[in-house]
Amino acid sequence: MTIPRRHVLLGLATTLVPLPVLATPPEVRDRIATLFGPGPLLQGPITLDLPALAETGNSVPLTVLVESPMTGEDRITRLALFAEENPRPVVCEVAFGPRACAASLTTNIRLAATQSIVCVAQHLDGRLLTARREVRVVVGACTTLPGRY
Amino acid sequence: MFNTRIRVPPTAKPGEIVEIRTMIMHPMDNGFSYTTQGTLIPQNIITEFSCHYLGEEVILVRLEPGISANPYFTFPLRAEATGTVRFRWMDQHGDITTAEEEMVVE
Repeated sequence: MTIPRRHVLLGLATTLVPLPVLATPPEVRDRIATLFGPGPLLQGPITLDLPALAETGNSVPLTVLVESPMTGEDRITRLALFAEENPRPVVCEVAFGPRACAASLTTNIRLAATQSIVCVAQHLDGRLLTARREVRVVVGACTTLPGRY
Repeated sequence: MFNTRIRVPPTAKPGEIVEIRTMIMHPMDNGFSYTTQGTLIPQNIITEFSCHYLGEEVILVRLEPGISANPYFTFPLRAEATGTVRFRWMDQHGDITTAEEEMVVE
């Protein structure tokens, strides 16, 4: 029996489409599923603002902004940030309360190595949005001497 | 109790979106680093941060060791009425640090 060339090509094409979540290590995918449930992750209007190159992984400035009017039923209820190569991949979980006027937060994070940062945000209706950004880290956190944060 | 630094604009117009900045002085020992003598520094972190305005929650953050020392957070807040903006941090031992700042809205 011969396999039609068209099927082979189609099959190849589907394996080559880079689904963002498929690139995520299994451990991180498990953590996402534990925190947000098994729902599908949609590419969302999320801005992850952080330097493309970080001199030190001890403190990397990061701003996350999920575009949302944050009014009535159209609001982001929570989000989580994941650093895929960190020994503890969950960086923080954020819940937005009734007084939140924008789903936005700026903080400083630790990065162990060059890696991707993933943000997963949950809409009030249960939809899960995601985005990722690559960061190159020159000297990782976790390995430095005490007193140098 | 840890030292905190917060920045809330003293005055704002109704509906104005202001930027709130907070920082708490804390080493956030991540449990992965060693002293020069080679002993592991145990994990010691702030685990929770929250902000309330006019009695309602603005934001709640659950921190992990992936947050840098002296955890710093900046976020927007819509000024609605004169009131107190309250901040609360809890470390992994359950010790609580609070701070608050008055914002006049007119």
